[in-house]
Parts: sequence; structure tokens; C-alpha cells
Amino acid sequence: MSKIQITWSKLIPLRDEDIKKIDAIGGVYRISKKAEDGNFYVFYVGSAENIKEKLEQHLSESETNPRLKDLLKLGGDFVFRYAVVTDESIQKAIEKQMYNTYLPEANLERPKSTLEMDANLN
Amino acid sequence: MTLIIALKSKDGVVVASDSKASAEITSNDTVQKVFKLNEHNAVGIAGDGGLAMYFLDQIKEDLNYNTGISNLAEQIRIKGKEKFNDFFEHLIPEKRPLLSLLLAGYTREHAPQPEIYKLNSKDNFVPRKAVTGFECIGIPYIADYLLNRLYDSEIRLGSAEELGVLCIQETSSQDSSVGGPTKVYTFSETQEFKELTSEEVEKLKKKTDSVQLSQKSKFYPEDPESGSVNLTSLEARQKKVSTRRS
Repeated sequence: MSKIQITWSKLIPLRDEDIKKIDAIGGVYRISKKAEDGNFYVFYVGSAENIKEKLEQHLSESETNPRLKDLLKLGGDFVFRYAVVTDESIQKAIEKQMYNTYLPEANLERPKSTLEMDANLN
Repeated sequence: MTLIIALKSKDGVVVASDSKASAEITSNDTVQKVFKLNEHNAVGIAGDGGLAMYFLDQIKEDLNYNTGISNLAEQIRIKGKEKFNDFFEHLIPEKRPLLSLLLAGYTREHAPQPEIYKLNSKDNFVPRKAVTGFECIGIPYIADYLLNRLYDSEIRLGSAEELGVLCIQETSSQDSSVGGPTKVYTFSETQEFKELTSEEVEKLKKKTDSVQLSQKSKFYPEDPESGSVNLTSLEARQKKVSTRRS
């Protein structure tokens, strides 16, 4: 298993105006929702060559993941955090690692990656 | 019967147990099954209750707790084998009463690490080190299944307490020989051994009541303090990703 150290952003509100402020970069990200106890719980993990574009898509009508779409439509206090990862195969491996850690309810399937990655998730 | 669970988290160890002792037609819900050895080591015992208490009394006094958990496990192996051979020399090991021990504590390195060991009277108390971050003794089947599904080494102490309580609750809901008040104990290399109050355990139980097993993320809330301020592309170019092949 490969160990990797990545730098995560702070939690950012999942809103168009906040997404606009990040650059068009590749990496991994996860989306959380605030629960009654005040904590934010992860319900979606992803990776993209352009995180900004992907997040904008998630908030738009063209989002194709019905589970994610329905959860976002329910409304609430949503946040995301991301880390820059330029290598696509490493992106997929970290996405898989996050999937295994969080078993997020909005992901339709386990990400496919043959690499086993041990990245810091915080 | 019994269920005792030990879990390693990023910031401490959790040991949880039920409180039920069953005889042929009676049961009792007030039994202590986890014992502090010192502020950073604990042992849980399953099996013949009276024998367990006497056995622990006999070996505790002679143990040196300052040599780290793996040495402590070896001391218990030697003492345990000696005492059982003394108590039951008239019986072959297979015929002797069963005592299972779950030992949790810290190593004596520069940066102490938590470890968990299982020891069993049927094989002369040979210590078996947990290869995952958790171990169970007693009626482990449901807890083992849940921990294999839900445990991750990223878990923090508060969430590990919830997971331990969930395992006891779920087992108790399926197996009536496990029950009574759930007991939860925590310690770390810096935090002293403590038992959670019944009110604290009740809060954990309420939280786990609403846990849906498919939502593992409920045990890993985001840490709002972690992370860097928003990464700009300039910062991103300056950040080096270091890779070590292990």
C-alpha cells in the first residue's frame, strides 16, 4: 500500500458563490451535511480533473446521480472539502479509500481502482 | 455469558462490556467484567465468574505494569499458566474451566502505541495480538461482524465509544445471555483510565439507536478545525505531494 500526504482545505459551504472561488484543479473531495447534533457527516465522496466544474454540476439540473440529487434537494447546511491531487490514478485510489472509510450513502457504487492508497483523510 | 470489546482509536482505547452473568436458571445484571490494571492498561475477563475474580486477585499483585503491554501479556501468560496448572493439575487443559482475557494497553516506546491481546486458558494463555484495531471475547459473532463492517483506524475516541456501545446493544438484542447495563471504559497514553457514567452511556445508546448500518459516515464526523485555508492555484502548485512506497 502506498502512503501519501495531501493537504485538505477547510470546510467550505457548498454554494455557487463559494465554489466559484476555487480554481479549476484536479483532486479529491467530499460533501457533508450538518446533522441535528451539529456535526457534519460525509454523504458523498468524489474525484475529478476539475473539482470546481464537478461541484457546479452537482448543484445543477444536469446532475445524473439521482441519490445525490435527491439529498441535495432536501436542503440543509452542506459543506465540502477538497485536496489537490494531480495524478488521476491516485485520485481514484484516494476516492476509493474515502468510500471505504465513510460508506457514503449518495455514492452509487464503490470507486474502481486497483491501487491501494493510504492518504491522510484530515 | 459475556461480551467484552476492545477498540483502538486515534486518541485512545475503548473497552466496553455487558454486565450479565448467567447460571442455569438465574441471571444477574450487576457483574463487573473489565478491570483497571493501572491508568493505561485494562483487562476484561469472560468465563467462570468466581474463578475469574480469584484468578485476577492471585496474579495482579505480581505483575509489573511499567514494562509495556506486550511484556504485560507475557507476564500474564507465565502467571496464568502457573496458576491454572496449580489449580487444575488433576485436569487436562481441554477439561479445565474456560477463562478468556482481553488485555488492552500501551507499549513502552518513545511514542507509545495501543495494543490489544487475547489470552485463553485452553491454550495456556498464549497471547494473541489483535491484527485489526479491535478484538472481542465472550459472544463475539455479532460484534465481530459489525466491527469488520464499521471499524476503521481513522476512528476517534468519542466515535469508538459509540461503536462499542452499538456492538453490545446489537448483540444484546439478539442474544439474551448478553445484557444488563453496558459499561464503557477509556484511557490513552496520556489520559487516565476512566469509566463513563451511566448518563454518558445512555447518551451514547440514544445516538446508536438512530444509526443506520449502511451509513458508516455517522461515526466519522468532519473535523471543522482541520484543513488549510482555501487552497488557491498558487498555493496548490507550491504544495508538494510526497509519496512513500511502503
